[in-house]
Amino acid sequence: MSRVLTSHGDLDALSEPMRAFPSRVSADPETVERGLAQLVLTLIELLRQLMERQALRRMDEGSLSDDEVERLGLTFMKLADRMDELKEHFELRDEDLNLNLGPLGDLL
Amino acid sequence: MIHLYAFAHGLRSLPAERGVGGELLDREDLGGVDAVVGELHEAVAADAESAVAHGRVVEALVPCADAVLPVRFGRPFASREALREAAAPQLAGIRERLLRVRGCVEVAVRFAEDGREPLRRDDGASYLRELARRNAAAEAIHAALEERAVAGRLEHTGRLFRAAYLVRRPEVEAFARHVDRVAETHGDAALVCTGPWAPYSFAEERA
Repeated sequence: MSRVLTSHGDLDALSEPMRAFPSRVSADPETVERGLAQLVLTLIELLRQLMERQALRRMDEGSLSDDEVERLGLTFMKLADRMDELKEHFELRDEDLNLNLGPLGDLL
Repeated sequence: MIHLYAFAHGLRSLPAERGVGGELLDREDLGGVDAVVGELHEAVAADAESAVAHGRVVEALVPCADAVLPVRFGRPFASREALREAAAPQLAGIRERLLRVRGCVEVAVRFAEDGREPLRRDDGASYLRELARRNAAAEAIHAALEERAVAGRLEHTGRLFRAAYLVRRPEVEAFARHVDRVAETHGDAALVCTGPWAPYSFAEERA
């Protein structure tokens, strides 16, 4: 059903695997670990994004010292690396780390 | 059982497209708003095939009505009465959203501001500043595109930015040309623009 109106640049950079349907925590004993990891990582990703936005906002306002910017940057860099490792371990993609909240839309 | 596909206003006809269970489509008048439904004899599997069939019905509805509010694939209602009861408290909001998307379709734009380049990781400060620069560039692209749309939404998914725009039907091609112009001013961005789609991103109430 894809209807491309226009495109530019390296389209491989935009490729995303098809989203599994439905997205939910499975109660199957063999996959429950992955399902729980998905839920926990979704919450960590939410906190990471909130903290990242807060840090960017404070940096923008000039309320962070150079040392604080460096420390926060390193923290987010390491957190992003660790998240990538965990996503790879549990075979999760960026778009798996989300929750639909019904009328409130998506969590992330 | 009643499977709900969408709410519609100014529904001129029902498309010939078959529903998730191969059923013919039908309409349920909720009072100025039509619910487009299918009557099923048994529940259909919640799998990709059913989701695609649901999506095809919604897309087929777009040219048949002045306004279409897609409904997510979900559990069926026990009866038409159960559907009416569930929809009744939400009708005011549904009418309002139908009015907002009237005569419009959704155009999706997905972009990565710096293609596949990873963020600079020399040190913490440059990482954070690079992150801020990328976000600002994405916001700039979004703001430029939103100028020519009725409404727009931007969401981040890791290194990708996904945006949706509500565009008046006759202006879709002009909007695509505007996307071309904006993309050319951001030479490093990888970008793909698709549509027209049913206005999924504008169908639900958001804060």
